[in-house]
Formats: sequence, C-alpha cells, structure tokens
Amino acid sequence: MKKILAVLLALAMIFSMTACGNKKGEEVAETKTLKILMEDLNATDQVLAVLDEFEAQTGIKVEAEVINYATMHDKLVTQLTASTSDYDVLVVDCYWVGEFAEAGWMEPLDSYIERDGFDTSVYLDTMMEMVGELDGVTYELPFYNYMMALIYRPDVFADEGLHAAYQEKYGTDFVMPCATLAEYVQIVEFVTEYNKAQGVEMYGTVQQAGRGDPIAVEFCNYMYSNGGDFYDKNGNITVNNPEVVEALELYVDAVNNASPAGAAGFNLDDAQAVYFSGKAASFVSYNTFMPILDDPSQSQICGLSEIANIPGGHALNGGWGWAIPSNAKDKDASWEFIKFIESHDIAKKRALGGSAPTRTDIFQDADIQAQYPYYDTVLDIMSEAVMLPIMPDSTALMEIFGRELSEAVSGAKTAQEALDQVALEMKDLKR
Amino acid sequence: MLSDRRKNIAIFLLPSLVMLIVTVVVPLLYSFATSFFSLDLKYKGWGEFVGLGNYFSALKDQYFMGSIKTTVIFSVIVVAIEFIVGFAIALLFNTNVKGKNFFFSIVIIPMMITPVAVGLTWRLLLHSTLGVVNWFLSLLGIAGKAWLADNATALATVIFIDVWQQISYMVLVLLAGLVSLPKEPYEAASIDGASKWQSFKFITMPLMAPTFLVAILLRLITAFKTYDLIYVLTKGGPGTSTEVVSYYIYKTAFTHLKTSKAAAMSFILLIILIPVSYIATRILKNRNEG
Repeated sequence: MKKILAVLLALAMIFSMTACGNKKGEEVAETKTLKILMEDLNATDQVLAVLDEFEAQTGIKVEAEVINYATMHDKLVTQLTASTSDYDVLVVDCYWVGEFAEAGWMEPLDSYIERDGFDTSVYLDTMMEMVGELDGVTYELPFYNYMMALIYRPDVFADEGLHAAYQEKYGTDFVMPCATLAEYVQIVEFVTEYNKAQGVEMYGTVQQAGRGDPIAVEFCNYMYSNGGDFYDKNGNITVNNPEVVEALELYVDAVNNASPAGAAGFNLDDAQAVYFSGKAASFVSYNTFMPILDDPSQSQICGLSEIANIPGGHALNGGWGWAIPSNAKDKDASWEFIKFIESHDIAKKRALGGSAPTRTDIFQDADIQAQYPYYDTVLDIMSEAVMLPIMPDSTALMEIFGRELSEAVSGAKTAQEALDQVALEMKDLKR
Repeated sequence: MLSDRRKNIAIFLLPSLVMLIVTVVVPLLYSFATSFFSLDLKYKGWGEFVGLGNYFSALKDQYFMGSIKTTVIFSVIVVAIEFIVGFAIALLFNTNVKGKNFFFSIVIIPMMITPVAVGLTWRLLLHSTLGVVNWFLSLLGIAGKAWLADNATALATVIFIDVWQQISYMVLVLLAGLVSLPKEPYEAASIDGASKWQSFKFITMPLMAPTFLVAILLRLITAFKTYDLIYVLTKGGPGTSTEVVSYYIYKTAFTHLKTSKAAAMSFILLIILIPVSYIATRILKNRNEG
C-alpha cells in the first residue's frame, strides 16, 4: 500500500512540475518586451506611470532605461549603427533629427499612420515641423515640447528699493519682463549688484554657461532675440554677423556680472539648483520647469515664478519625438506603443502630470488650462520661437558652437574671434 | 609531434591567445584599416580610400594638437606630484609608525572608487554657490573661487582631483618596492656607521630606481589616457582649457561621427605612447633577469 502511495505521490509531483514548466514556457513566448532609452526628467516619469496600463491593454511589457541627457546621443548611435538594436522605440531630440534621418536610422511612419487612421493634424504645426515630418516623410510623433523661455520672480523684481536705486543710477525705471536683450542684461546685472550691496545672496540671473549643449542652447535664445541666426534664408552662414556678436558680448557680460561665479562651468542641473534654491531672480530655461517649480517637494520657491518671452522676442523652440529605429525587431509592437502613448487620453494624463504638451487639443483642454493657466503664454511664446537648423551635421554644429562660446566666456577669445571660428568650421558641415 | 611540454604550453596559452586576438588584435587592425578611409558613422560602408589624409588633417587640427599639449602638461604635473607625495607617504608607511594600518586603508579608498563617481562628488563639493568647499572657505573668511569654471584654476583643480584619487596607486607600488628591498645592505651599512640619510641616499634610492621608473611610466600611460574625469568635471571647458586628447578623440568619433579621423588620432596617440611602454617593459625585463 505504502509503495503504491509513494509512486502516486511521485507521479503527482512530476506532473505538477511539468505543468508548471509548460505554463512558464508559454508566458515567456507570449510576453513581448519593448526597450526604450529615455532622459531622466518629469516627462519620462509621466510615461513610466502609464506603462502598466499599456501592458494590461496589449500584453506588451515596456522597459525604459532612464539616463542623463549628456550620454544619450552617443549611446544611441552605437546601437543604431548595428544590424539590430537593443532599443525598440526611440525618443529623438529635435536637433538629432537631421542626422538620424540622413543616416536612415528612423523608420518612416506614414504607412502605420495611414493604416490605423492616426490623426496627426492635432499636433501644433511647429511641433510637426520640428519633430514630426522631414521632407514630406513622417518619421516621428511629437512627444513633448521643451521650448525655452524667461522664467523669473516678479516678487524680486518688484522690490521698491531696487526700483529706486535703479532710477537713481540710470535715470529711468524698468519693467520686467523688459523689451530688449540689452535692457535685460542691464537689469539683471543691477539686481546682482544691488543685492550684493545689501548683503543678500540673490543673483539677477543664473546661466548654464558650461561647455557643450548647455551654453549652446541657452545662447541661441540670446542670438535669436537679438535678430541673429546660424544661416539666412539662402543658406549663407550668418553666425558671425554683428547682431550675433553683440548678443554674445551681452551674454558674456551677464556671465561675468549677473550670474553667480562659476556659471561658466554650470550645466543645466547646476543652474537649476541655484534658481530652485531661491538664489536667482530669473533664468533662461525650459518651460517644462514650471510645473516642478510649484512642487513643494522639489522647489523652495513654490508659486513665485512666472514665465515670459525672452526679451527681444525669440525663444529657442525644442522638443522630442517618438520614432521607431529602422533596425527594430518588431516594428508593429513599437508602433502599438507610440499609438497608445500619443492617444488623446494618455497624452492628457501625461500633460496633467506636467509633461509639456504638443497637441493643440491638449493645450486647449479645460482641465489642463485650469491646472496650468500659463499655457496660453507658452503658446504665444512658441508662435515666435525659432528652432535649430535641421541638418545632417547638427550635433557637430552644436559641439563646435558650444566649444567656441565657452572660449568667449572664459576670456580666451573675443566674441568676434569665437564666432568667426564657428563660421569657419560651419563651412565643412553638411547641410 | 609536439613534445608534452609544448603541448602543455599550447593548452594553457591557447584560450588567452584566442581572447586577445578577438578582443584586442582584430579591433586594432580594423581601426587601423579604417583610419585610411573616410568612414562616417552616419553612412554605411567605409567611404573612400584617403591614404594618410586623416593623419595629415589630424596633425593640422589646432584643437587636436592643443589637446595633446594639455594632456602632456596634465600628465607630467599629475605624475610628478603623485610620485613625490606618494613616495613620501610610502616611506612613512614603511616605518613602524602608529596607526599605520588605519591610515593605509584610508589612503587606498580613493583608488577603489570609479573616476565618474569621484568626478561627480567633487563637482558637487566644488559648486561655486552651493558647494561645501566654498562654504567652508567662507567660514575662514576666504572668498571662494569658481574652481572648475575659471581658465586660471580649472586645469589645476582637475589635477588636484586626479592626484587625490590616483596617489594611492603610487603609494601601493612604491610601498611594495620598499618592502621587498633586501635587508642585508642596510645591516652592512649600519655596521660601517652610515647615517640614516646616507643609507637612504646610497642604498634605498639606487635599489628603488627600477621601481620608480616602472611606477612613473605606467602611471604616465594611464594619465595620458584620462577621459572619464574630464568628461564628468568640465567637458573640456571652460573653452578648451581642460580638453585632453582622449576626450577630443571621443568627441570626434561619437559627436562628429568621424570615425576614420578619430582612428587616425588614436594611432597618433599610440605612436606617442609606444616608446614609453617600450622603456617600461625593458626595465621590467632587465629586473626580472637581473
């Protein structure tokens, strides 16, 4: 009897083991996993928050690898040049678009859009132009915008003593936001000087003048607002024209006299830390900071900041797009994800969490308007904003630009010398 | 037929040989070959054959040559300081000083940390308005500096941080050399009435000479290749004041995507380093034979 029981038990155990094995095997075959490389910031957090919902709907799991911006481009390039990529979905910064399209790293999305009837007319034109279509082919769907703007503290600029002292020195009063770049630099320098005399640590502005992308993108706001650009309409290089030289002289002046010492080495995080700790009265930065600035867990100056256009009127527009790498393994699954994340309801959910919108219907949504009343201002600024040139060598352009601007800030070159060098090297870049 | 001895050698050597060929020799030859073409990561294929064009354009590139100059200055100063201070510390550890083990552990710690973490930590400490260093200086009534953002101090600051981290390597190598010195010459010298200074000058220094050379040359080679610290601390800035050659090559390859030019630059760097490593291996060989 015992023997029979033992045999039965053993059989039962073997059976249950194989049953388990089968079940496991099936699961592995069924679960698809998509990998994405993303930047460590709020817009990404909003995506991470809806991944479970996507998995519940489609059974597809999404793994996001979240890293610092500075290493993203180079990490992606090594993956995209291979025959197959680790990543199934791409997020592409607007100034990589020219390079990625030229290299053929992005899959055209037109057939998917047509097949599923996805409406791309909901996107702002500026967004589609920047991180959507290129030469009539749709490579991306706009993910979020990161247009830069002037973020400032009305409470600091409203100080009566400050106004009185300003009037005494310059004979006129000022308003903030002011009309021109030159006026802005004069005001923020005065704020630094005034507060220093009072023994208060409050700088007029804090710049991200560290070499590389930080200084390059911030200075673009100065350049555009002073009437300059990289190229004119006919494609002639205009980066060393007098208005750009003047903008750079103003920028360097602000680094030396309005920003905290050390701004010449600051990247975004450093400048952000100074402004968020309440030690600067303004900074030229991303509109995406506005929701975080009012979050008590991240900011010491909740509810004190406002957003305005760059004095002079032309901010640097920016944004990210969703794309499918042309060496992705399962492009249909990748498209499923992009379609889901950009659907109206999910886009709205992300926008409510503070991810800066790209769709007109989200910008105009009553709930969004109630939560972020300044989005009308953002749209106004965006209508005058300028984007970086989309060209195959745009990352090289920004590297050269960032290096030479840093040379000017450090005093190793004059503004004219630095920009002449940029113009010289731009001749070798593919446009 | 192979003898048993040869068979054994082949069996033990083969796996590492295969690994070396796959991971070192093949990529090296591949990049050497690409340095004669116009390969650009944006485009498939190797591009056109340009002969020595990439080498000439690298040598004419003022920023590449500038970065070599910065690298030489950086390496020489860093190795000199690390050697002098490191040897002093090693001598101290070689005596019966109290709390030796405790301090030895502390000196070794920086070596265990990756340069990226070291860089990030120092970047925070040295932040001009929110960092601890300037705050501490302000307590002493000293005005803080923009350590990493000023042309005058950036390279010196990077050198200081590198010394802080890499000095433990020098201490370790030199201490190992001191410990393994034979005792007999010292005993003979003390019987002959030599002073401590005399036995240091006439026994320690000559006996340590090969160790000195090896430590200095090996450290010189790694200092020449410094990349991560610069990447985290300054990105070569302000301007080009801290741009070292490895960082410049990396930028050429992965930002400008000019792979062939970057390969040519790497081989120029290799040509500079070969004599250094040749001398180092010769000394090591002589010592082992002697």
